[in-house]
Amino acid sequence: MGTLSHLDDKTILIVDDCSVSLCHAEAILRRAGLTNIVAIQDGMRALELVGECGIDLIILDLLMPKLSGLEICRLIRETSPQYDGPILIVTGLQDHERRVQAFDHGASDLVVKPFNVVELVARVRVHLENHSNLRRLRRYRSNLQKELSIASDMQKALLPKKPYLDDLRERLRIEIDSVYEQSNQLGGDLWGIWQPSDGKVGLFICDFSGHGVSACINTFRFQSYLEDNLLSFDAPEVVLARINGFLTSRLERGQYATMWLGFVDLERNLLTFANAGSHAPLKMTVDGIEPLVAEGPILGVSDEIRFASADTSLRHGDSLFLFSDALIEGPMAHLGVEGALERKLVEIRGDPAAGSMVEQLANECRLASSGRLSDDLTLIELKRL
Amino acid sequence: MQYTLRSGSEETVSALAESLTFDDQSRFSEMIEKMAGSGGKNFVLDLSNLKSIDSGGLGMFLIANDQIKEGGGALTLRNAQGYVKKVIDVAGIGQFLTVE
Repeated sequence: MGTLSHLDDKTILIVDDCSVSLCHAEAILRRAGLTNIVAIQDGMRALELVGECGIDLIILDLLMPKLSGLEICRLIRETSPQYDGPILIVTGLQDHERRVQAFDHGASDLVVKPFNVVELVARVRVHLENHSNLRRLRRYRSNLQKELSIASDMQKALLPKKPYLDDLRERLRIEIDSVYEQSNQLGGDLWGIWQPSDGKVGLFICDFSGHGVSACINTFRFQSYLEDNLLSFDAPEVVLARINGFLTSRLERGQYATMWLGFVDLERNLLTFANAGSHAPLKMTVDGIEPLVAEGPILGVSDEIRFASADTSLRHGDSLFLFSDALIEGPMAHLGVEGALERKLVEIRGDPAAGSMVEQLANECRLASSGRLSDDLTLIELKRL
Repeated sequence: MQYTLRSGSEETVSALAESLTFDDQSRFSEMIEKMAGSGGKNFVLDLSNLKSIDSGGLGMFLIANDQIKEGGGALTLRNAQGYVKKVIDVAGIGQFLTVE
């Protein structure tokens, strides 16, 4: 006979109005190694016990006076959601119709009376082990969820903080409006803004391939590299080449990053920028919208790459719009069509009551993907006031 | 991802169809192994019927390129269309392997 001694921390509730049969079932399980057994004859009491103590498995006799085993089973499932363990119904072989009904009432399995000792022990063991595994998986999933949620907050903390952005607005008349949403709790997107020197502002958007844990770890690596290396001003193509060298030596095969980087010279009203495989950001002025194109491949694949820079004016009243792939791919592919995004921005900017442009675009993305983004979404509008 | 493999005397061509994403990783690497096992040195991925690709898909091209180079061969991406072509162009993949 199989043993249940490895499950001796489990509590079994047996309900049967017939004391002989109740004692028999209890004796079988005790002999098999279980020690925590609550054996009762009153079905109503069973409903109370399920709510009170930690029961791991319930065995209910089908035929009982006031409440049948089926009714008790149904009531437990309906009124005691805290009990999610197995319920075994004890039936006679001849109860064909009610045997089938048992499953509709929420039973997990059937046990035939008179008991076959080996079968009863085997069924109890299988259901206790399955339930125990299920609980372990749920606990693991819940812990993982908590960890991911903490990591997600940590990743958001890499982004520029509100007091810093408020200060930029006050001192340099630069206003930033942004949206950052990870598709999978953790993401591969990152953006930043900093002052490399007086009168200059640097801005970047970056996207590591993939959008899960590995991409997220790369954003942390990258951020600590930037903090150590990007405080001084250099030409953007030089900075990109340096970052490319770093990433090529660090990223796993098949991983890469895209990045657009620009420096605004506030006195000369000049934006100098370079690109590494990123979709061209857009410059928005009273005269219209133009993409800021600079050729350059993705980062982290080969350190023998040279990047080119380009420049354009950026005056008071002008804006830059930076975005990640999610805005123009997948469910938003209609904005990836030549000129479609520009037309969309004109439409939004043409409506003075529209409010935040990036929020509006983000809402469209959320709607198009039914609330679950398929890729990380980063949208940034930098405006010179 | 769907693919059809064809070995000729000049080159081994695999025509990819539908989409190439992170989830296709093991299927894609099996395909590359089959191509490499064909004995040739010139390997072509025909992308005429590939409709979409994500960053994981582009990464797979780069890994395949490294593997094939290590074996003394060369990888070419051919005939990308529409969105897939745009992604390959924007990412500058032509700087790392041959794009026709």
